[in-house]
Amino acid sequence: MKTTLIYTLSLGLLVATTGCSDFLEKEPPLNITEQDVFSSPERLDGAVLGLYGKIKNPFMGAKTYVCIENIGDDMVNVSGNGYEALASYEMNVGMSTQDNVDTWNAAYQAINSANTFLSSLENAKETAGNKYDQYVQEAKFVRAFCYYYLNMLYAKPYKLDNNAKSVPLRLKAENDLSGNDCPQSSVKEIFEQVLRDLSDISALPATGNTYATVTRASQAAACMLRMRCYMAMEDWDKAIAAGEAISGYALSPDIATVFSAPYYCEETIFTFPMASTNQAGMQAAVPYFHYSGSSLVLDVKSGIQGKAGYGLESDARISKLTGTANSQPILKKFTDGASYLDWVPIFRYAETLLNLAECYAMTGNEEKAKSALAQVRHRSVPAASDPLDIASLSGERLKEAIYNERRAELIGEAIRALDIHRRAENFVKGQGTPKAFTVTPTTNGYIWPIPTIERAVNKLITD
Amino acid sequence: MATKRSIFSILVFFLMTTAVAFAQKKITVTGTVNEPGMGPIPGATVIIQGTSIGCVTDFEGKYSLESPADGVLEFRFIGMETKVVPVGGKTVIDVDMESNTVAMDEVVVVGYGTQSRRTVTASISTVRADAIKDIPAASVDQALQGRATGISIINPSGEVGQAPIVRIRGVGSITSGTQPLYIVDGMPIQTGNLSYGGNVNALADINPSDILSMEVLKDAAAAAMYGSRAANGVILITTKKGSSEKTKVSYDGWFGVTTRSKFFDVMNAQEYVDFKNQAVRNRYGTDEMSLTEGYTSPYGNKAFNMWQLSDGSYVDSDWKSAAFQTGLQHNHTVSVQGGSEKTQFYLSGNYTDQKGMVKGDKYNRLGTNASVSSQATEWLKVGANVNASTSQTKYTDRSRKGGTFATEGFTRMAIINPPNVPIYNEDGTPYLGEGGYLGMSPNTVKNGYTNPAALLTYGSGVQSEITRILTSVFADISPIEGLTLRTQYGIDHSRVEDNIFNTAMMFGDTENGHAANYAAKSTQATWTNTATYTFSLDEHHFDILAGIESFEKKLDRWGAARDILLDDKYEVFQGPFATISADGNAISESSLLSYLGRVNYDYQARYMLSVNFRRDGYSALSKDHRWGNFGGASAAWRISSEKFFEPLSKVITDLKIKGSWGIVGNTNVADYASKSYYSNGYYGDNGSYLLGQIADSKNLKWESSTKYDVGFSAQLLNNITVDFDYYKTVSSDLILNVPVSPSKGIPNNYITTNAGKMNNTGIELNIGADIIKTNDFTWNSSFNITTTNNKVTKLADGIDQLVSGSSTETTNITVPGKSIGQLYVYPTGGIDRETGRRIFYGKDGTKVLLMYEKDGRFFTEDGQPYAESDIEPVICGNTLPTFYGGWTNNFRYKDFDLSILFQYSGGNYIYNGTTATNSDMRYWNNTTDVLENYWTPERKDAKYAYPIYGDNYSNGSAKPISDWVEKGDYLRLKNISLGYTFSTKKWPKKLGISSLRVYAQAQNLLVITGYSGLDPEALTNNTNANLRGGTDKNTLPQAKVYTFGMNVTF
Repeated sequence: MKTTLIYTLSLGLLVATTGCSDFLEKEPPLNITEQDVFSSPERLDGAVLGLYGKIKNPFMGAKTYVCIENIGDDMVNVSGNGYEALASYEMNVGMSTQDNVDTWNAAYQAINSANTFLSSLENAKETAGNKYDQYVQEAKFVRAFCYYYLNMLYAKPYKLDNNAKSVPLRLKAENDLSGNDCPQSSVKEIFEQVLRDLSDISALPATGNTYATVTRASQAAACMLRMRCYMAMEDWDKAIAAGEAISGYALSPDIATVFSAPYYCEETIFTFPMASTNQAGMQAAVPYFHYSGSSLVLDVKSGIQGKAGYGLESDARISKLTGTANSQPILKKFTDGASYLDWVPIFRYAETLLNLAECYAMTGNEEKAKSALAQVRHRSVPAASDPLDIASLSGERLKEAIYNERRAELIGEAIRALDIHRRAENFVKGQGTPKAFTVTPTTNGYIWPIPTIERAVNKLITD
Repeated sequence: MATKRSIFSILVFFLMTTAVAFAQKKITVTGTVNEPGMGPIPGATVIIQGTSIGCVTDFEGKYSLESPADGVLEFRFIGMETKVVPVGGKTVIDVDMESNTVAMDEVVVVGYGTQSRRTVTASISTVRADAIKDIPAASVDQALQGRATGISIINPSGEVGQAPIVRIRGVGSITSGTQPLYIVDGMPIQTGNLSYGGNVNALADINPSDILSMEVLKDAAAAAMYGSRAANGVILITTKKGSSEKTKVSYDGWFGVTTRSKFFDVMNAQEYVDFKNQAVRNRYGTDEMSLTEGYTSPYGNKAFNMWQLSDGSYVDSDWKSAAFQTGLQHNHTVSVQGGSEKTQFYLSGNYTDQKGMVKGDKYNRLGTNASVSSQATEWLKVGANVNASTSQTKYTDRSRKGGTFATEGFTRMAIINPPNVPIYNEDGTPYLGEGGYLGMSPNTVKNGYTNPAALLTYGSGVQSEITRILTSVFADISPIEGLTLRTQYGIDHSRVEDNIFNTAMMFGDTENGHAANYAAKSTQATWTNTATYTFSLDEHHFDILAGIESFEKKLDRWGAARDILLDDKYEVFQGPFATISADGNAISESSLLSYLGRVNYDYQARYMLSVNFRRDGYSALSKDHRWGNFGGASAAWRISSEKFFEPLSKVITDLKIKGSWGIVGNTNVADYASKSYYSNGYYGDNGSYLLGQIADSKNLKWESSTKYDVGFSAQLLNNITVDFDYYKTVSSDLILNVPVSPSKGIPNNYITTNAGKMNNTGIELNIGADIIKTNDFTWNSSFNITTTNNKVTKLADGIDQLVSGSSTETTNITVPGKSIGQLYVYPTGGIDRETGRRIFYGKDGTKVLLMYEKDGRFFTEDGQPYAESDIEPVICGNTLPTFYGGWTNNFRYKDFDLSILFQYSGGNYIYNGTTATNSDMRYWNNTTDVLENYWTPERKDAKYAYPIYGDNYSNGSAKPISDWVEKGDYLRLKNISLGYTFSTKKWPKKLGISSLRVYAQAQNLLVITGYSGLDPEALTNNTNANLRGGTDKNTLPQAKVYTFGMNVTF
């Protein structure tokens, strides 16, 4: 009798509390499933933008961009602060240095995002519709973009040893615990993969100065990336071909236009947009380093602006894009120290011209080289008062003038270190810096070591 | 409805007639209740067993009541052993009651019920309110330290209101939480840090004065009732309830002061300037130079200079005075306890206000607690508990949340700020150099630290305001004798608002003022339905429990951050900032559904057996593996009740041996740990979707721990108790964020899955004794020790180590075969006698000397450069204490009482990173210890290297070094309290005071340790303390607290 009663009552309780069967079903309310993303055309387009987001922040629209500038020799890091890319500047980036670890993570997060996107897209062709080819090419552009920078930071110059070990090549979507081990590919293999990813760009918009075309991959952007690879491989003819394929862009009459709102113009090929919802923060934001005079300042002694003819007051790049803060000479390309909303340019037509100038000079086409050089230089330095007589240049002097012009024009834009690296030159931090030193291609610090976090799990990494 | 009512009417009528039937042959019984040596006990309850008839003794301890001539009287009083006397026709029954320090017959709270300690088969430690009544702790967890076996409490620093690290029987998980589950009056509550932007102990919302007892459930037999949440042990907190005795009004209050227990002696201004200049000379050959190119100091021609004031004197700042203070604290609780046979209530109000030893550290709480229960009918009892509080925690010291490296960390600033820089300007305003830092000041290098006085003056800080309600309602239905159906619904609701503000006065270059506000709502609801049936067949006693419980948790938080303050007049979020952006938004939910059951059986309290079972389903785990079965079995044998034991029974009055086995789980995983998803973002002006999380959504399942326990409880000579347990916990399927190669590009570089294995073994021993017991003098003593041996046996396939540390340095490693979180620092061998340089060891064993001023820095003895990357960290010792415990002594002489608690811990190693701070050769100030022990040609036995300006390697700042690894053993005089109880029994009745006690208490008076830092208990990384424990880097020592208090009852 008693037992029956207990059973009855217990059963009653059981029924009472287990009424709703979905009690244990909880989905993250602020996130979205892959299925939901890839079944809606609008969200799918957002997923492509997400790939650009990954290469922007925290990668080339943020800290890594500044690290590369720090490696170069035109600016001085006066921060004394390891969080402000000091190790990049001092060229003693170790296996656990934040600059290195953050860059490595950012690049491979973007690579796997692209790989995962390419894999998921195969099941969402209908959703993609006629945008399918464009999306594939955009994802491959993102992947190529990452591998290009990794190859420039982690591998010895192609020029010195194209068989040198570079970074692991990952081309498949990764979503489980398997396959941690992956050996390094060679510098050559990485460049070949980058070029393979850029081999078909037909579905990308050819050109354009709209918000959409400058913030996403275009054929011109892809050509710029190709051009940079070929120049690193010293394949000047192919580099010229890539450069000459770029059309529909022009130098803006005033260089300052490139760096002021709306941050894109006829010169802009590819740039990272910023908005208050997605700008990089403080010690990752590009403007943070430049605006205050307490982090990254101009090396007016041994940097390019210390060279005769490159610190001219009549040079718009000096008069409009440099200044003083905290009694230090600063670059004023990135000035929004309050909200960090300056866009971060990656490819602009001035670089296209200077790249071409260099390639022409290398292939003996000096007139074309001088013409391209003059276009860039005389936009900012009035030809009449220019102490540099471009017309008279030739041979090594012409090459030097082009090299110098690249520095003067592209200072602050994360190019100089890449130039030194691809030419296998020495990094020389000279007189104007707190501590002068030289790093040669055979010295530790010339390239970054693959970080400990990778080595700890990926057992196939070797030096 | 009508039929139901009539059934109950019949039931009530039946019960009444039964009562009438019993109420025959009544006699009047009178008597006095005494405590031997103490006199009469007023307020004791006398009750006729099996009825609700009873009375309460008067001021003289006298009672009188009508009882059946063959009835049995039960005498009860808090703190006394209950006495049972058959009436047997006697009309006068005087009773002596013994205090129950040797408490074999007390009732212990167990999961979903209570049990007599006599028949408990599980391993449970109990701490009664009485033991912790004088402790000036803001939260009860702190007061548990040293009080019970099996539970380790580490107060990571002396900051007010910070949550301690609590571990029961070692560490049961690698990356999931290791906090025990806290149950307050049957309801699980939120624990840990309640605040998002700040640091507030969730347990601090419960007033320690409202607590009646705490039980620590350690083995599976005890804890498995909580199934999936029991792997880290369970702490049951029982709050005070009403009583059917005379209404009592009590006031408990104390006030006191707190100061730091210890601090370093640092150099004064002259010593600093001379020493730093010497380091500059050692490096550059001269000190007549500027350390910053192009800068000339107006204060002198040397690298470091004195600062002369307008009155001709020199600045000589004691930065300790800018950071620390003597804080005033006070606490008051008024409670009313009373009721009738039918309805009982307990009400209390509490206010506490504490200022810490760090300037700007404040905590206050205003709380009320109400508990009422009513026997509505013979078969129905209903009740409710409400604990509501509001509290405010405020601090300026940014080292508090583990950020002891923060530029604004007070301890660090108190050590390293230059004494030749003033704290205040001559006009009384706080001194600030360029950009809001200390800047150049009279030196020639920019100092990137700041002035604590300025941070305090200009309103920088973090404030958390918490409104918390813990409430539960219950109904007990007893349809038939022995059967109780209970339903309880409880809610733990908190509303937390964090206000963070950084003044625009400081760090002007980089911040220009920053404010962030966060508002969080967090609710946990638990609905428990149980049926308990207790019955006996002859001398076989059964206690059967079955139940269902649902638990749901929801967090909802939103916030914003603002930057660039227009005007430094404003110190609030609402001020004129230029920007605002969303920050800290979150919504998170989880749910748990459980079925539970238990059978307790005993035969004559001699053979005992208990079996329990629980089946839990948890929303956070993968759909196919979210249900888990947990449970345990335990048995005990009271060997002393056996015939063959009789020869020994004079010496061993009670002996019970017991053993248990069971499986429990751990649910401390993220709410959506098994979900793969995309997250939302923006790219420029457009929305975007990004790979957010890749999870092991197919396989993620419970962590499970198998717990074994064998032991005995004995009572010797009636006044010594011995409890001994050997335990072993084997944890497997530990949820681990298994690292994947970062080149795989998986978000966060890990996938959360079940991988690890770990063991904990150890013993627990508790010995309690009434050493002296005379009328005037009593001395009882209780000693406990726990050992734990933790061993990680497996991480994950292909993963042989987990390296961890703070964001700026690696200090720990976890490897299979050793205990979790080993110290992992660079091998050093002291100072080379001949060169005065720090000796490092390369991975091939090469002795390497550090010469900071030379390029390359590391050189072999014959001057060859040695690659820095060939110097690798090595394992340097375990960070978990291997033994700990406490020793309590209570003395009473006439009306005086004295209580002394020693608490100890050891067997672990500490990385004393503060020494690195203390001896850094940059512009930081150093301790006088450095001045007395640095290498000179005359002082070759040196602790510190030959001073080279800028050298941050020799002393461990750049890389943590093994020279700073020390043993962590200590013995602490935790509390000492002296009280005096007035003989209120002799006072006029008109006063109405039934008891009055005053006391003085001191906490953390003394530490005996070989550790050279400030405090061997200090723990820098207080989040995730298991993987990266044992490091002391600029951590505050425990506070000394002196209090004076009073307990009065009307």
